[in-house]
Amino acid sequence: MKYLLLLVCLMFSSFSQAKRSKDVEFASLEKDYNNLVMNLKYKPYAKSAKQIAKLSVEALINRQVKKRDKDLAVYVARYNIAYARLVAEAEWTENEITLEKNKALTLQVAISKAEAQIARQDAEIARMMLIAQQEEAQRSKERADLAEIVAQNSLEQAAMSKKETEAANRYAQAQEEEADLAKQEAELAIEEIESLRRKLNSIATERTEKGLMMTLGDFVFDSGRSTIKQEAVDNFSKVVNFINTYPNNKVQIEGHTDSTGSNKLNLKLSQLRADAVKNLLIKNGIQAELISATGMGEELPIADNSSEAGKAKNRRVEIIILQ
Amino acid sequence: MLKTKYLLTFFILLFVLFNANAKKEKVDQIVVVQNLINQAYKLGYVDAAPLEMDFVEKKVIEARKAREKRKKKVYANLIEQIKVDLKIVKKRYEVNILNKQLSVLQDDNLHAQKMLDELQGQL
Repeated sequence: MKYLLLLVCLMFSSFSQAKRSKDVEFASLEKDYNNLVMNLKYKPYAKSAKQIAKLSVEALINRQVKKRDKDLAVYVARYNIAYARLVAEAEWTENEITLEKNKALTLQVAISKAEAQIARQDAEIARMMLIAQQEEAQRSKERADLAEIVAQNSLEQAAMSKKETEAANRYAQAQEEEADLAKQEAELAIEEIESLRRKLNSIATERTEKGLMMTLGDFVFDSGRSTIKQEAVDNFSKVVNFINTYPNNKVQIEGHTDSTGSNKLNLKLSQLRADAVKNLLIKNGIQAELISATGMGEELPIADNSSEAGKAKNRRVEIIILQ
Repeated sequence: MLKTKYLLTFFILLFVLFNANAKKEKVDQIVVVQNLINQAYKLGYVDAAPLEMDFVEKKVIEARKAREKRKKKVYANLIEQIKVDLKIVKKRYEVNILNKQLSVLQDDNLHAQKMLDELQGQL
């Protein structure tokens, strides 16, 4: 009896343990299933697979499965839950793939737009650079043109300077030549004065019917005029001394010309020259009342008027100390 | 007599049918499962779920033993378990492929986003 009781207890214990084990297994399955359906990430997915899992779990919990098929049913229920989870994961992943593909498309479009915009920017930059280069080229050309103009101006200025230098040189040369001429003229003048002085000193006197006569050549006068050269005035002492040798004698002055020009003009010129000599003698202290001056014109030539030498001899003033 | 004759024919037919079905089921199921396993290896499912494949292999051995010992129930359960295990393996393989695709796309998009950011930085 005691052993029988013990056997019954053991059987009861074993039965209750088996039942508790089954309950734990079902609870585990239910928990597994609940975890699956409560998972927010996979909630919208694998609805039919979840339904199958639900049915298989519920069949076990509600004891709709035959006892001999329970092990397989538990296994299949666990499989259904795992499979539903995998299906949900697959669908979620497929959905994510679709989203990523859309995102990729959007990104590709955005990249294309950005690339196009950058290409436009690059093109604009290239265009601006081209314009800048063209402007720089234009500026360079303008600078080159300006430099050319400046160079041309410099050349012209140099040419002008050269011309000015040449002109200055020519001017200096002309000045020099002028100075030389002046010097020559001065020398000539000095020579002329000397010649005049020599001529005046060498004037000879000759005895004529009227008296002693001294002849002054036309060298005493300025050419074509009646004024006596200053040099002759300064060297007139010989004439004055000659006259002073005979202080009480009257002096007759006769002016003569060559045949060039009209008689009237020659007469007037001879008179003016005779007067000029008279005035000079007066200035040199000869008494005016002793002096008479007469213009003879071309009427009394002493040489042939057909030659220059003859004409030169005819142009004269004769100073005669009357006897 | 006639009744006995019909009854005997019925039992003979029943016996033949039963034996024929039993033999066919035994051979077909193990072949089907083996074909499925071979296909799983061929398609590379083993890389996606090596542990499950290991269990499957062990269950195949157990199923063969059960068949030899004529434990039909155990055998049938094991065959059924192997089938669902292989479905899980296949699904896991598909999920892996999808995850790889997603990963590649995410990497591509990350790269594309970086490129876009750089391009926009140039604008």
